[in-house]
Amino acid sequence: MSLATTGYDTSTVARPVRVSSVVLFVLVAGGYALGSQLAFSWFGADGTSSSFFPAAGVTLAALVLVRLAQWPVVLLAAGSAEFLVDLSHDLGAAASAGYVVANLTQPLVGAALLLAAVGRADLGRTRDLMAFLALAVVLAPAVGGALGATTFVLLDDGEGWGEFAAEWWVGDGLGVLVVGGAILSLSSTVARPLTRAPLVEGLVLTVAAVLAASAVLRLEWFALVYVPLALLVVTAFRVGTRGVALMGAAIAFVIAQATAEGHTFWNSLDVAPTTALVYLQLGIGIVVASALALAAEITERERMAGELARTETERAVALDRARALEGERNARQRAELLERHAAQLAAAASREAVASVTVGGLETIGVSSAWVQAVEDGELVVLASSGVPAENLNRYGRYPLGVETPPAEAARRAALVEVRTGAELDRRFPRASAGRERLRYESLVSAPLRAADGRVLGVLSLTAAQKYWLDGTRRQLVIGLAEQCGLALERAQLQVEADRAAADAALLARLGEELERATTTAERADVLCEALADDLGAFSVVHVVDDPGGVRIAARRDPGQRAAFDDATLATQAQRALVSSNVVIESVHGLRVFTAALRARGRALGTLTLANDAGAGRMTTVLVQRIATRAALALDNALLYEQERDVSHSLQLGLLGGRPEGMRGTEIATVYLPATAGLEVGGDWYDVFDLPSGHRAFVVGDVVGHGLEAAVAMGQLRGAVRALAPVGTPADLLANLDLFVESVPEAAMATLAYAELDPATGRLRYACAGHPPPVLVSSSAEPRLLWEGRTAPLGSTIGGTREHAQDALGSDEILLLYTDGLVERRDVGLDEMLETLLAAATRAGSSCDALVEELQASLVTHVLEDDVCMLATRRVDVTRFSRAFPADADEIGRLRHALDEWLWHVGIATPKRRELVLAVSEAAVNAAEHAYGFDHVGTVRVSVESGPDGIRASVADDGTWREPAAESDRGRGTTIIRALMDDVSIETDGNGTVVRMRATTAPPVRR
Amino acid sequence: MTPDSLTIAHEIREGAAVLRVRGELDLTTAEQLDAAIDATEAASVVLDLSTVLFVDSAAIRVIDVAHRRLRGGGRAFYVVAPPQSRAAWTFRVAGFGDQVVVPSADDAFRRLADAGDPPV
Repeated sequence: MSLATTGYDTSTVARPVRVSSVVLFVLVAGGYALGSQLAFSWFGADGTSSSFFPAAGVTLAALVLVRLAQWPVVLLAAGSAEFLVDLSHDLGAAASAGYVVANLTQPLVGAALLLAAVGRADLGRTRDLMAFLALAVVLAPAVGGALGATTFVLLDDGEGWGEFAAEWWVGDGLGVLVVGGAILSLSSTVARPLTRAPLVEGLVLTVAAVLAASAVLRLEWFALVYVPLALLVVTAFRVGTRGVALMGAAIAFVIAQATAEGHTFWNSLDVAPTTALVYLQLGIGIVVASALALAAEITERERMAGELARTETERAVALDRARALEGERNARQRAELLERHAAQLAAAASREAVASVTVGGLETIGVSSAWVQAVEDGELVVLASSGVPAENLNRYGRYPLGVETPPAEAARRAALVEVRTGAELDRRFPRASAGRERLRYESLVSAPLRAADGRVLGVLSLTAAQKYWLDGTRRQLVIGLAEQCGLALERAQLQVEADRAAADAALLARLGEELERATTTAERADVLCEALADDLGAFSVVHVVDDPGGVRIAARRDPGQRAAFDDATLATQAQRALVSSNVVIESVHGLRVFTAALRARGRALGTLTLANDAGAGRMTTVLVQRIATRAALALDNALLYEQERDVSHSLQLGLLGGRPEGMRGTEIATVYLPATAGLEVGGDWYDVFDLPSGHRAFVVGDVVGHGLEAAVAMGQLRGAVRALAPVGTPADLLANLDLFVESVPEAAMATLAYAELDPATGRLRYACAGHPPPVLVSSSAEPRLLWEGRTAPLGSTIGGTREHAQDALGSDEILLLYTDGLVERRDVGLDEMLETLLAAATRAGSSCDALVEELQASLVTHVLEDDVCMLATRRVDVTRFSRAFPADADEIGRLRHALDEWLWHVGIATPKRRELVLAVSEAAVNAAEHAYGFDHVGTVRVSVESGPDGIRASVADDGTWREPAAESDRGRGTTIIRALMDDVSIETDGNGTVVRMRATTAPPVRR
Repeated sequence: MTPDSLTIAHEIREGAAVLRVRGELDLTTAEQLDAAIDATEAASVVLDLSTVLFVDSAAIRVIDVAHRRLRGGGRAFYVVAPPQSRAAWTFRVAGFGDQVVVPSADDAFRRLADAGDPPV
């Protein structure tokens, strides 16, 4: 029995019966007197043998039922009744008093023990019933019996203490059991309530039991002896404790009555009638006690069942209450979440920060993953996420709005999109299935993030492992989060846009400046890429349109070393952009690739491709378009310049005609250096041509201005010089040119240095029209500037009569003409530059080539702001060539080249020239090798003369010559010489060796 | 052009080392040629002088020595000098035979392919 541990509800514990002491006294005294009288009248004619004593039950029941304070009333009433009844039955006062004591002690002990054991006993409870049976029915009557028997023996002059005590015990026990039990049962609060139906049933059963018992005893129908027993059991089940108590009492009274009237069935038993009665009483007591126990047990069970049912109900109620509490708590939690969220959002400065705050701390409401995407350029871009694997972010970090996903739909419809189960997602959004597998969710909700004006700025998506996660309150929460996030996003975006606009403006301004600084398309494309890589951290490529409609890369930068693109991919992208009016956007390897056509004056010049990590940087189509527009203008301008320059350059190069050829008799070196600072070519030119007089004319000129016009004017002026030079003197030429430039305004103010040379004599006539002075450079003397023959630039109105001057060009002198680009520097004065020029010329007077090389090296050390033109010439002595050089193998090559050139000037044709060069070269090698062993010290002298009988050459050394064996290595050179030349003689003496050789030639070709 | 400018391109064709020489072959550059020939490891060496601008006796000496050296080692050696080339002219002047000098690279390889007739 575990109910004791589960505990009774205190409300079901029997409370003392409230009754006034007077009424109590009357009831107890009356009841006791009646019971006592019955006992006397039924059982004990002699008053000493009360084998069934109902009064004992009255006293005990009264004590159990009333408050402790009223116990004296009960005891007084019972004692008074006992005393009076005893006296009335002629018992002595002492004996009566003794019986009073016994009859009061007995219930007092029973009630007190019972009270101590179980509190206020309620026979509906098995435990109380057991205590009642043990303490009140068995134990207390034993005490009473002992006292009564003692009284009987000592005061009543009786005999047989034991027998008296036993009879008392049994009789009072039965009285307590059936009468006290009945009273207590009827007053039970826990026993099955005696409603009308069981009351009727109990009465019917009791009547049946009484009839059966009467039949047994009075009619001696012993066959019916078990009927009352069976009926007790039935009553225990059907009616409960009260029914059993009533029936037990009834049966006990009936038996007692019948016995008293002599209807006994134990006469046949071989025992004393008193003993038999005790047995009967005991039997009745046991049966009734058993039935009571059964009834109590049944009641207990029923009550337990009821209790359990009630507990269940209570539990359900408690659960409901708990749920309600939890709902309340959740609501509070959500409110707190929204509040915290709002507070954090207020502090978030960027869109990313806003998104990051929004996706945080949602686990508490069962969210397994959350992410915020922004709507950008028709795409959804993840700003922040929580619980989303990197793989998902890589794959879905950015995708077009048109893709069928819950977030995209939420953005398109500007409405909350809910997916309640994984199966639903797979059905409605098949493309999101793969993502779901990784995120492992069942529920997904995507809420649009709206600006104050309702524009959808982004989408908040939440997932939960639970199906049907989005209940009413969560929906409210999600909507709340989305509202707050949307507004914060708008605020952050406005700030970001303002910052971005400022940065964009700065970038465009910077681009403008840097593009201005560069000049050519290649440079500008490069500057563009550099600036974009620097400012945006972007991979950038400029393609320019090629002639056949293709594109080629003009510049590229890859600051992140991404190198994710091959040229073919880039070219494809460029081609797409060229035919598109919009910026073409692609996502390649996690990069966003923007390509915009560079259009200017309705023409696509090329494309600009910019790529950056998706989400990184601040590139937008708008910015890319603006950059492209700015860049296109710059490139277009550069392209225009370049085209003009290319034309000018071609024209100029065509007019200059490269190195003058076929000018036998004069060594000539020319240099033309286009300006490097700008795009424009200048109008510089040089020219060499022969005059009908046999003299040779040298011209260096400079047309004012740059570009195509200057080049054209230069061409015309050059032609005019050639046409007008034969007409008169140099002064006449300039005067005629003055007239000429009147009709060619672009050529006006051109400057010119003009010189006529007689190669044979060296007679020189020259004139300078506003041009720097020519220089005469000598290998043996200081160079000098030719300041004579100076007049104003062509077409000048302030100049006087044109003049020219005369001079002579020695055989070892070089005439140098040049344009002002060589000596005009912003940072150095003209005089100083001329000094520098003369100093450089002093160092390199050996040949025309050496001179111009030295001048270029010494003077052209800066960025050329103007073209530089140089023309150097020297007369060649076509009768004699002589060289002296140290015994150094390297000298042999130089000798060969110089000799070959001299022979050309002489007019020797190629096959013969080749033979002469090889022969002289072999002889020189022999001299350097065999005479000196290439000691770099001994001198080899070569002399070649051109005469009517051909070419005579001599190679001389001062060493010791040994005639080599013909077939030896050394002899091979000699063999060759002999094979090539007509006459060969080798003369050796103590001072050295001279090899003389002669080759017959055709008469020299003289000009 | 400086006298000492000489470039020698080295390639392997059909198992033979082909040296293509450009520039002037004279006393100063002959050693460079000698070293280049010496550096070859193939069984056959073809020295292509089609485009040289000048050849002197020093270069001829180097070629002659190289020829002897290679032949001594059982290796084949041909010098390509088209008839109109400067090299062919010099070889003629120097009396070089046409057993080693061939007019074209294809001729050289034709002779190399003829296994039964190793070059002298």
